[in-house]
Amino acid sequence: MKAIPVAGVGTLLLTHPWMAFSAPKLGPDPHFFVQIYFEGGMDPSYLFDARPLAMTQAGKIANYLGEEPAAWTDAAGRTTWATSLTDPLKPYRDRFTILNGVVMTAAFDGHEQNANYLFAGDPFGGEAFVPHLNAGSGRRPVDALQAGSIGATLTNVGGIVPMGPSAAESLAKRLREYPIQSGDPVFDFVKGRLAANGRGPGRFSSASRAMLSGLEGAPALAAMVREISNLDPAATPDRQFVGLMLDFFKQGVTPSAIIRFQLSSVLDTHAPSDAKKQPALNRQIVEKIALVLKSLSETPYDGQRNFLDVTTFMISSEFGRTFRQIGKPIDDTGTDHNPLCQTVLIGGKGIKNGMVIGASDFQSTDETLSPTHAMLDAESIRAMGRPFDHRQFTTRPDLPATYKPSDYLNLASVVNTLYRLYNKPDTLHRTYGRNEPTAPVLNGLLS
Amino acid sequence: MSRIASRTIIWVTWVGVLTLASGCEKAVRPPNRIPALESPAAAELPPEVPMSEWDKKRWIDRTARKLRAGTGLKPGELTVELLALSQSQIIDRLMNDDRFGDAVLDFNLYFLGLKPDSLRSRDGSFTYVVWDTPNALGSAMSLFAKPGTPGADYLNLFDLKHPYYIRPLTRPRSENAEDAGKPDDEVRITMLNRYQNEIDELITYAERNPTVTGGELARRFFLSPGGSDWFYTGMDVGFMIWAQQARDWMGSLVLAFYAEFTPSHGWPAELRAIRARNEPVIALVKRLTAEKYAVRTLRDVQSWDVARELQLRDGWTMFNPIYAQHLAGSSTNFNRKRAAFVLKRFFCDDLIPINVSAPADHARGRHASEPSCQSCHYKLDPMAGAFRNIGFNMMNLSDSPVFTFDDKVKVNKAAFQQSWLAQPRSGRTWDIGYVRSTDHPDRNVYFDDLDGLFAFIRKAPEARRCLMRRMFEYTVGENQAVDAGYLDDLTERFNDETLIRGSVPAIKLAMKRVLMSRAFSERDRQSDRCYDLPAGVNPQDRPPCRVAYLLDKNCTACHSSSSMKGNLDLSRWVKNADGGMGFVHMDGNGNPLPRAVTFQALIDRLDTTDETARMPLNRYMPSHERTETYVWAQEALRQAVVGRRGGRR
Amino acid sequence: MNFGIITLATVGLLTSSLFAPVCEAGYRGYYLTNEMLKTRLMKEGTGFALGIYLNPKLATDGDTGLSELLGIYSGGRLVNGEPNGVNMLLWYVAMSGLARDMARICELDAVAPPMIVGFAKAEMNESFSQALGALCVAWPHGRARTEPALLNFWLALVSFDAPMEEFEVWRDFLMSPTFAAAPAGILVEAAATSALMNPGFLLE
Repeated sequence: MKAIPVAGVGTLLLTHPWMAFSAPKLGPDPHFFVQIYFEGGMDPSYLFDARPLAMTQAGKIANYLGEEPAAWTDAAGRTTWATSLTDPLKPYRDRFTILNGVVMTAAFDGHEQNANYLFAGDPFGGEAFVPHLNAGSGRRPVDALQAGSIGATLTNVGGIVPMGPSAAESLAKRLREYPIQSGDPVFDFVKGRLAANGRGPGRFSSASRAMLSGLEGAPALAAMVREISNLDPAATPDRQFVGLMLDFFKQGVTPSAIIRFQLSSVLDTHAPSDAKKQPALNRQIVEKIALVLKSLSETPYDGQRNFLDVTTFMISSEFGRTFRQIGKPIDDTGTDHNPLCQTVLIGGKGIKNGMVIGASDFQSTDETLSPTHAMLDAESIRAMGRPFDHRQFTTRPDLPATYKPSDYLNLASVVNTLYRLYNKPDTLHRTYGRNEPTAPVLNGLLS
Repeated sequence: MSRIASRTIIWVTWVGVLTLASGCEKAVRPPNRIPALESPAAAELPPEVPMSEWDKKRWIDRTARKLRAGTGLKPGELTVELLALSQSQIIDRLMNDDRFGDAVLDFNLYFLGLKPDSLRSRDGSFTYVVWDTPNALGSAMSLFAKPGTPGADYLNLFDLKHPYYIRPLTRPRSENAEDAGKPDDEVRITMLNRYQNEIDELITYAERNPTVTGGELARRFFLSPGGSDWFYTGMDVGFMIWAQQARDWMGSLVLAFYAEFTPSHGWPAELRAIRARNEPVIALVKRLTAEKYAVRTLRDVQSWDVARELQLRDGWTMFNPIYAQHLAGSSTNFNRKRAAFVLKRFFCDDLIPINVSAPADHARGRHASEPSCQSCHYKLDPMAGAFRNIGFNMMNLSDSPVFTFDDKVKVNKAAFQQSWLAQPRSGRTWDIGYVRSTDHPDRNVYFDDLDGLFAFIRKAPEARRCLMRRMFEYTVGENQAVDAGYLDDLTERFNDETLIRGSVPAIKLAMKRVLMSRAFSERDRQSDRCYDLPAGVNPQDRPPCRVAYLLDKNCTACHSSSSMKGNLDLSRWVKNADGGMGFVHMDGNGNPLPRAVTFQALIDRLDTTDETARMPLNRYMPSHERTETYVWAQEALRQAVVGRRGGRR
Repeated sequence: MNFGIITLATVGLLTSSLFAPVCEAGYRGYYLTNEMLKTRLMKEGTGFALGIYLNPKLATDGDTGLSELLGIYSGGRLVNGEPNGVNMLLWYVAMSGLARDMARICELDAVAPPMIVGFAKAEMNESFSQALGALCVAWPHGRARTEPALLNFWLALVSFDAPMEEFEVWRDFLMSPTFAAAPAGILVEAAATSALMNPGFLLE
């Protein structure tokens, strides 16, 4: 889906009788979802899956940050190595869990294939999982608010709305200055015609039904949106969008948001000159994550809770990166794609936060790698997720001889865990691939 | 008797005779069809779909929007006289409008996957995407070209190389304070002269410093203030980028900047040659000022055969630098993205993975042991080789020992190209081409480079069929079932008419047929229903239209009512025991098998790499037909398993 | 070339999904819809931008992206073309804005509240001007409240995009007691809104 990066929604003042609804209550158990996506392939070694400088000195991994990582340990004593770039996230360390060594598609290392795998569970595309979270009772008018375009082939994105600040502002102005005056009879008549045209078996009828469903929700939507507070014109676009997202959440417009943040340079750092910008890029990444978490945590939901208490979030890229490129000096190398290992941050409502789960291999120069790793990474320039025991919820020490996706912590399991968390039917659960078994839910992640 | 009916009868007779004679073990092929060189009689058109006067008016307005690039009937245009005409006559009238050229251009861009929202900007000028796709533009311009001339060929859409279709000049952007307030044309020439002056200075520098490297010269030039003026003169930026990259023009300087290059005759001579080649551009700019050259319709477009005039090895191609934005060749995809584009856009091949066998002489590395990878790579990798010399920004790197990708990664070009080298006994240098089948290598076509690829595309039957398919999608709508036989028929007629009357009349007739189709007229279309069938086909008991023709062509020689090999009849679609629709399929004891078993068997036999089981047995099945049947069988299986009534027509 | 990991970048971009359900139709998109209105309402050569009814400062501020939410070609495909709550709200806002503008034409002599002016009376083509004028001048009296007058107005906006039955139901709605005593402007606004929101007009 190529969504349009456009602007956001402000206040809509609609004075129709049919639009004068009060916002429906969100209920006692609201549950929002935010997916933050950094496109291009984040390098986990600059954040929560770092490597010691000794490995750089041995020519194994490029490190343009040039510092020794520090231990990041959870309450159970599980440790990962994190760089100082993660410091702005320390205040929130009890609000998210780190999943290291997450495997995407072992068979494809292209952007689109892995983006498709992330969003739809299939390298060739399909239905995105985020709209599924809005299905069923309590459905909101909009499946998700989106910022930024996403390079994936998705088929069920009709309910995902790409809105940004300027579009919202212009619409808000329009409706404040020129409130719509139209009678109930016209609205009912239009609905009646949509219903009448929606009785047939074909595509036109199907679309009429969809129009009817949309129009029926439009007054409530307008009433919800009408209550949205004005966006701060002095704020950065990111901050404006997050503010818009929260307003949409508050008013029940949508339960979800997909945010693809723009960075100052590409994350796809094949070129050495781009790879050297990794420290700056990852600072930006952390700033943006912190912005979202701060906004969620500082925005009250009700008297007792803030929005971080009622929101689950997931932060990832479409894959990780290699340690280096062959034939390049270690201090002047780019990095390539690595779908065998990335870090996913998951947290918020319903998640056991503060944990470090999973791990990647190749943590030292002399580590013995599994035969599977050797087969999938003949040049020894990649980390791979360590085998994972889904029942014990811990990494395994063995070194598998052949590749079986079920031996590893896979992104499919992360999404299935979200499906379980949001009480979605198991029929939606992802498999590891064509003719492969269903990926298990990470029950150890659920609180 | 219609041509389709007679052809069908001949084909069926052949099948029947050979089936009886051989027990369906021999390969069965319909007889080759040689078009009769008839006099240009009225082309056979489908009968008009009966409709009320109200619906006919709707049809006319919709048709007008299709044929006039979005402009429907204006008030007063729907006259009694127009209404009295036949659909064919109405279409002819609308096609005589100059706006039909825009419609064809819009379709061409749709065919290439580049359709914009609007061809024109608010001021009425064509948008950049039009100028950046010379094949789409040139092909549309064929409508207005003099018949018999090279430009009067719609199939220029399939050509790689084109003249430069000159985009009208826009306002120059100069950062030089001295240019402020001066007329645009004057500023433009001043900027170009400044550019030439920078080259003069570079020539002087090169003469005084004979050991200077190309890299240093390039950096001096491109980072100089005048060095960037080239792109801000108001000429077509895409063209100016290409000019700067073209070999024998300024490509040497760009190569020296990004890779390694030293001209054989030395830099001073090279720079003088560059300077000399820029002069015609200046002359063009002087000749086609904004006052003198405006393009309101496609008739107004002028062209410049820049490659011939400047004696360049590199032509202005459909793959100009603007394509680099969409089709980056990265160090991870190795031009497979470009190959995938060609396969999807020109062959309608979405690379849906169906297992293929991995014969020994294609086996390389992992692919030999991974049939599931091979199922896409067997087509993709050889196609990607056509771009083996096309690097960053679509630049031709034939002269460079270094290959630079769009992600700025550089590799040794010989090493990069090595994987496309053919086996010594193959009789060819490169394993580059269009691979139709790994089991039937005689079906494959090999070439060396992009020129070869597009020479092949021009003749490829798959490309013609894809054109018809996209025409149907563009006119009727996407994701609409279409009978494969109907598509084949459209294609065959297009081919025949191209031979007899030329490609311009042929494409018009093809469009006309689709506009007169039932599918186009239907108000509430069902996606899985084929509204148009080949003539003479009896829909009674016919399998779902998506696959009926394909099964008939590839399977029913052995699996029909009269010859139920494997106790399976793929010629009839009947109600099964579970109430759903399916084929007649029985076990050894004559008991009907569940539908799901049949569909799974179909999938397995289409998908397997075991040559003793792969269907059709010992016969070639075009990959698009295999794919379509396979995908349909998967959906049918899914429906059968879920328990819904499957297989609506 | 590294075959250690299969490199098949971007096939997914160009690969249509195997899992697409039977598709509904969608909107024509903002551009085509705007072209239809321009052709039917305006004199030849006159511009028209439906988006002004979403953003009154369209001419000065440029398009802020709202019209893109009504269907736009991007990457060679129509996106945002499937009906949902947001775009149905936007269509309603846009069409009722246009309808109100037509009502303004009707009631030029009356004191009208501030509204968005998307076109001038002189810019209307003759056919639309007559169709609108016939309703404006006399509704609900005389020849205004008749089938021919309403048919002219319907055809001026919707042409034959929707079946005749849709016109007949629409006609009956406007001839109902609800509008029997309504001023012309109210009638025109109701008539235009309900006509332009017909799925036959909006859907491809």
